Formats: sequence, structure tokens, C-alpha cells
Amino acid sequence: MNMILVRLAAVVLVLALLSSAPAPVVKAQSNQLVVNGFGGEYEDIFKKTLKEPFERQFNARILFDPTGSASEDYAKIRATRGDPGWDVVVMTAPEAILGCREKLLQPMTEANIPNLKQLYPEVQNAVAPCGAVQEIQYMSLMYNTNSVRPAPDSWKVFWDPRYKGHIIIPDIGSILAVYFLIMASYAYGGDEKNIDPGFDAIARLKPNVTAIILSSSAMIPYVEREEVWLLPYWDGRAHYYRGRGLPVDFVIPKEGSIFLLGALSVPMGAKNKALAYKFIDWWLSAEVQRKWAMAYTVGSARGGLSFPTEHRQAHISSIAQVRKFKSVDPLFIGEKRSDWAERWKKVIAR
Amino acid sequence: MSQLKRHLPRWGLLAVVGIIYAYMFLPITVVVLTSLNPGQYLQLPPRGFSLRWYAAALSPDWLEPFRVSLMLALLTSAAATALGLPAAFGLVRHRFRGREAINALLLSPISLPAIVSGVAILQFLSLAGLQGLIGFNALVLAHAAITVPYAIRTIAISLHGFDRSLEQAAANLGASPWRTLRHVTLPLIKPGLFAGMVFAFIVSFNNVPVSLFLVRPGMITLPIRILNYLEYRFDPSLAAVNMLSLVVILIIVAAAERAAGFTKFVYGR
Amino acid sequence: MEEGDRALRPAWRERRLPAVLVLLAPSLIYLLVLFFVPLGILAAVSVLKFHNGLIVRELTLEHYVKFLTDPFYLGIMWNTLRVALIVSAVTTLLGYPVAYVLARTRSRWKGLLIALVLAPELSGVVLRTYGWLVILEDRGVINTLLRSWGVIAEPIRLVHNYTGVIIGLSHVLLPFAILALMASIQAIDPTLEQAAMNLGAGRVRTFLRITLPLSAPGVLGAFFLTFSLSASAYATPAILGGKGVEVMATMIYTQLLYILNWPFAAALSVALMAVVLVTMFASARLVGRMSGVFQ
Repeated sequence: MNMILVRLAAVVLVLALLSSAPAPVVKAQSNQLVVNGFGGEYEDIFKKTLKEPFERQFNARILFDPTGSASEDYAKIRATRGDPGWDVVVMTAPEAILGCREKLLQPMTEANIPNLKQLYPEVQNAVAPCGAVQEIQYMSLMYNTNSVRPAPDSWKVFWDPRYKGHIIIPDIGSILAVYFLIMASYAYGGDEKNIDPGFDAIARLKPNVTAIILSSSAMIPYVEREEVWLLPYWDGRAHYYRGRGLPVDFVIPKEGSIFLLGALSVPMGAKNKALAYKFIDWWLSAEVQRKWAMAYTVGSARGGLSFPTEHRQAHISSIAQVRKFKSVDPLFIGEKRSDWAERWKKVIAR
Repeated sequence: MSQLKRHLPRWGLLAVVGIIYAYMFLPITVVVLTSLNPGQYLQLPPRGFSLRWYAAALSPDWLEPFRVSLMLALLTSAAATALGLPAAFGLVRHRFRGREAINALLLSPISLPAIVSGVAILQFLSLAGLQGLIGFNALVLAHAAITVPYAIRTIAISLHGFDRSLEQAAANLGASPWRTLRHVTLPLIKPGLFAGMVFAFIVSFNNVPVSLFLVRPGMITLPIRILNYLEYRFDPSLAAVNMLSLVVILIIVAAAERAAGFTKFVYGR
Repeated sequence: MEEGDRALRPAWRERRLPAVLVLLAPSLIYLLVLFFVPLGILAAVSVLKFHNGLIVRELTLEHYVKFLTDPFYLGIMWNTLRVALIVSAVTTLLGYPVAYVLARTRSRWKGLLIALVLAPELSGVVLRTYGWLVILEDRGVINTLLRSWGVIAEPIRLVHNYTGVIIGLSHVLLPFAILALMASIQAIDPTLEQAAMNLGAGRVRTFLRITLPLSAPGVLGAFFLTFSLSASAYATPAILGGKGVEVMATMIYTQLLYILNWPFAAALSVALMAVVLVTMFASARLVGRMSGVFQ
């Protein structure tokens, strides 16, 4: 009986070793592109809206890697000094900007990506040259339509004692929290340069909060169970959950809000830059931008696209809408982020 | 009456153990209920049952990552035990200066949040020009590194409780050190070996932070796929996936038990 | 357990390399290459400056100074250690009876019972922790039951605080404690206990004088494992904490991944590891002196 087990174990181990023999090294083929994005439903939409059409049109092959949030992707880029194994990586403006400063991402020009010209300059310039804006979302106020009446019109509704114990705010690690902090500042007489009113407001808010959560998707169970009635949330995701039947709606309060630019980047060590530029340029083309914005329920940084009314009202679809948002310098946020994070943690811990 | 008095402590102990088991299974109950939930999210008390999430969990999207994680965990387990066994002997059987320090040092990989190890190892491989290893190979190497402490610890526990006179008896009977090791020592420290292998397996199978940084585009482990999924969706199919992987492993263990008396092999009774 | 190893030593003394080195070499070298060197490289970053969101290549000790002089960060370290101590005490205490019963039982369900101890681990940390959330929150199972039975009027805060973290972490680490303790209790000859009882010692006395001391390696080993693991745990404190709960792992995570202040993250990691290792070292020394376990 003794030996049976030992032999069995040996067989299992050999099988494991054999079945996991290292795959042949993926050589840089001129028609293969490695794109890093996100998983879950994003992966499904990406495959249908982008991967398959691109592969057909350009006779290429896309290897999609769903691993990692934008932050985890950036950590990987930093750890490998710009050679994470991807040709294109989907992140957001803060990462693209930092990646440029750290010389880990490839600067892109209108020469190799002509469609950059078609994006709203004030939006694209914020992320240039190491990022290309493939989508825009903004921080909306998501609320439970059953319990929050009338529909809220101001960020100050979070401080309303009626909703004590029914709100969630993001943790400072998330850019959503940084935006919320800034809007709290605006709501109470300050702005991003004078941030003290914002921190005071957060300190006052703390007792009313159910939880402070880092990952935006982790907030949804609370919303599903209708424990939480108010939370800041990205418009694209809010639209998705509303469409899935959750009793929620999302608005832009009267004080305004801040938009978040998605950014496509090419790591310095990318093996197939030529195809990467082609792919990004294609993603920024009018037809693809329109399809992507509709499928992923987000806004686009490209003008001149026609969207159904419902979409136009919910997501950024014109430069006029862009200008309605507070224009906060992402470089400024990048510089201040560390100090604000520390201050936030101390305020919350008290 | 005295019969009752005699047996009371025993039943008391069993009751306590029963309560502790209940504590261990409390959140699992929630996971199971979630996985059987007909709706998108968990409602308590549950409003009916459905197996649709299990059907979703049986797709190749989930089966392939499961296979990768399983193989990875098996190899890690073997490597960690192979490395840990001699180290445990060295720590327990010999007195030397700095023993407690080396003891602590060999525990260090688990005293650090795994994400730091993940980033550090990736950075190291990158700097050393070993990017080619990134993928399954790097995963095995890294997982073994973070699970060796478990093996060392548990084997050391078994070795501490070991009655050396048994080895002496074998030596007196003319057995060589190697034979003594194989036929006397090793069989008697099986509980420690088993614990070490199991811990290494579990830690590797469930690992996210280290795996996240060392997977290659085109491959993925089960917990990472679950994590990706969680970023966008919070539906019960995750619960089903978890329960399924649990059930599969339990079946394998049950098979080993039936076929070869696993428990008796390890724990002797 | 004394110089009994002399019986085996003579053959090995003839060789040039001391046996200890040969035995320790594989894991030490392996960990050197795959853990200590990578960690060292990352730790080297801890002495670089971080200014306005960028790592600057200038040497500085400002991160260590910040950690050691700011009561906020010292408080986080303290909370981390406090939680780790409580969790390791709880898991060892709860794990002991289970380990004892499992080690001693001759039931044919022994294998199943052991598998059941390990089964929760295989369902992953994240989902189990969310299970705890459902059970512990203000409108969760426990509070709802207690309120419907009239035991309490207002919900008890069992989550989003350190209590929840302790409950969750103890749950995650209990199987480790149990198996570690089993490895030790298994080796205790039951006839010793029987002999003591035949000589008139009660159950409690037998336990305290015979079983417990003989299982000391298991207790210490379980403590080492659960203490280190809870000190470095991230997922459970992140999910069950969430409102002012901050441990070293969550702070390091935030700095490493979101703030991208790698120098500070590295400094915090070095500090955490140092503290945990020193604690292990000190406890091993202490226990060794007290009971001659580590002869």
C-alpha cells in the first residue's frame, strides 16, 4: 500500500511536468499583437468589437491578456523597465502620464497614429505623447432610485444625515477617491489647489459611511443588496449596472465632476510597435470609436460621431460636454497624490 | 452516574470540536448558497436553487486555468518539500550558533506580503535578463520559494517529536544511516511531510499576488481569472467555480483514500 | 533528545563539510537567489528619494525616518502586530482540540474529517471572506438572528473593524494551525497518557503535564506560521476592514500599487519583515530557554 501511493505520486508528478512543458517561445511575428486589457465582461466586449474585426481586416492575430487592473499593469511595466511582454496596454491617464515621465512608455506621434489628430486636442494633449485616449468616463453620482428621493442634484447629498449608514466611498488608492475628494472640496468652498475644505468634509463624512472600498466592483454587492444608496461611480459602469436591472441611476451634480481619460500605451520594449500603432489608429477611427463607445457604454474623445439620444445624455459625446467638467490638471494630481493619500489615511484613521 | 461523569469530558471535547468545525464551514455555507442561487446575487434566505452557475463553470474558460493551477500547485508542493526536508533536518538535529537566526530567516518569505515578493521577483528576473522564464517556469520557481517555509516548519515539528532512540535501535541492529532514514525516520515524520505538502499545494493553488506578476500573456491561473472576473462582475458563477474546484480536489483525495488508504499511510492509524 | 545524535555523527564528521551546511545549503541557496536577492534589489529602492510622484536617484533615509517618527505609521505596525498576536493565539487555542481529536481518533472517517479541515482553504480566500461579510455585517445573518430573538436592539459592529479582521483571519489560518499541531500530537505516544491516568492523574493534569509539553514543538510551530501569515496578510484585512482599518500589508499594497511610492513601500516591507523575524527569533529563544525544546 505504501508503494502504490509513492508510485502514484511519481506518476502524477511526471504528468504534471510533461503537461506543463514550456510552450514554444512566442517569436515576434510581424502579424501578432499582444494586447493587455481587462477581464470579465471587458474581455467579451473587446473580443467582439475589436479583436475579431481587426484580425479580419488586417490579417493579424491578437493575443489578449486580461490580467491586471491599470495599477497592476503599471507595476508590471515598472518592474520590467518597460518590457512587460505587451505591445499595447490599456490603462488610464495617470499611468500613461507617469509612464512618460519615467520613460517606460513609447511616445506616439500623429505621424505614426494619424487619428490622434481627430481627438479633442485639450483631451488628447493631457495624455500625450505616451497615451492615446480611446474612451472617456466621468465620476457620476450613483444612487438607489427606490430610497433616494427626490433624485439628488448635489454632491452634498452624501452629507445628508438621512442617508447615514447607506453610503460608500472609495479608498484613496483609487483615482475615484481622489476625484471625490476634489469635488467635496469644490462643494464646500475650495478646489483642488485649496484642498483643506475637501479633507474637512471627508472627516465629517466618515461616521456616515458604511465602508471605504478600494475596488469599484467590490462596491456592487452592497448596491445589489440595497444596503448602499449613494456612491460615486464611473458612468460607463453605472450605465451597465442600470441596464442589468439594478434599481439605480446616475447623474452629474450641479457642482460638476471630473472626467477620467482611458489611455492606450505602447511599452518601450514592445516587440511589434508597427502593428501596435496600426491597432491604436484603427481603434481611434470614427467607426470603431462609435462601436466601442456603444458597446462599452462610455464616452469618446473623438468629435463628429452620432449617438442615440440616450447615449449622448449619459456619456461624453461632444466637446461641449467635455468643457462642462472641471478641468483638473492630471500632472498636478500625480504630484499631489502621495501627500493626499497620506493625509486621507490619517483623517480616516482618527 | 460515574459513567456519565467519565464520558462527559469526552463528549464535551467532541462538542467543542464540532462547534469549531461549524465555524470553519460558516462562510462556505454562504458560498455554496450563492453558487446555487437562481438570481444574480445572493439573497438570504435563498429563493430557490439553480445549477446554471455550475453549468457556466464547466466551460473551457475555467477548466484550462484550473488545470494550470493544479499542475503548478503539484510541482510547487513537490519542490517545496524536497527543499524543505534537508533544511528541517539541519535545523532540528544540529546545534550551531545562529540557529534561531537561520530558523527565522527561513521563515521570512511568509512574513512579507506576497505582492512584494511578486514584484521583487519579476524585477529581478527582468534585470537578470531571464524574461524567458516568465510564465509557468517562473511561477514554479517563485511559488516554491514562498512555500518552502511551510515545509520546513511542519517537518521540523515532526522531527522535534521524534524519538531518537528508534534510530539508535536501528543503528544498533546494523542499519546504515541511509536505511535508517528511509525505513525508520521518514515514515515516522509523515504527518509533518504531509502537512508541508498540503500547505504548499494550497498556497500555490490559491495564490494571486505572485502569480499576477509572473504569468505570461496567453496563460492564466485559476485565482487570477477569478480576480479578473471580479473586477467586472460579481455573479455566483465565481462561487460555482470555487465549489467545483474544491469538489474535484476532494474527489481526487477520496480516490487516493479508497485506492491506497491515504490517511493510514500518513497518520498510521 | 540530548546528545543522542552522537550515535549518528561519527560517520559524518569524517567528511570535510559540516553536515549542517550540506543540509541547509539547498534551501538557503534557493531562497538566496529567488527571494533574498530580489528582495534586496527592491529594498535598495527604499533609500531613494520620492518627490512629486517620481522616484529620484538620490540617497536618503527619509522613508525610514518617516516610518519611525510618525505615530501614524508606528500605530499601523502596532495594529498589525496586535492582530497577528491575537489571531495566532486564537487559532492555536481553537486548533488544539481539533488537532487532538483528529490525531487520536481511530474512526474510519478520519480521512474525511481531515479533508474537511482543509476543504475551506481550497475555495479561495476572497470568496470565503465575502461569505464572512454576509454573515457579519449589520444586516447580516448574525445580527438579523440576534435581533429577531430579541437578544440585541441595535446591530453589533462585527465587520469593517479589527474584530471582523480577526474573525476572518483566524478562520483562514485555522487549518494551518490544526495540521501543524497534528504533526506534533501524532508523535506523542498515547500510552504515556494512559500510564499517567493509570497512576491516578486526572484528565486535566495529564494534559497539562504530559500532552501539552510534548506537543510544544507543534504549538510553537503553529504560532510561527500563524503569526507570520497574519502579519503579512492582505486580502482579509482589505475586505473585512475597510473603514479605518489599516495594517502594514494594506499600506504597503497601497503604496506599491496605487501611490507608486516604491521607496516608501520598500521601507515599510523591510520594517515589517524585520519586526516579524525578530519576534520569531525572540520567541524561539525564549521558549528554548524555558523548556529546553530547542536543545
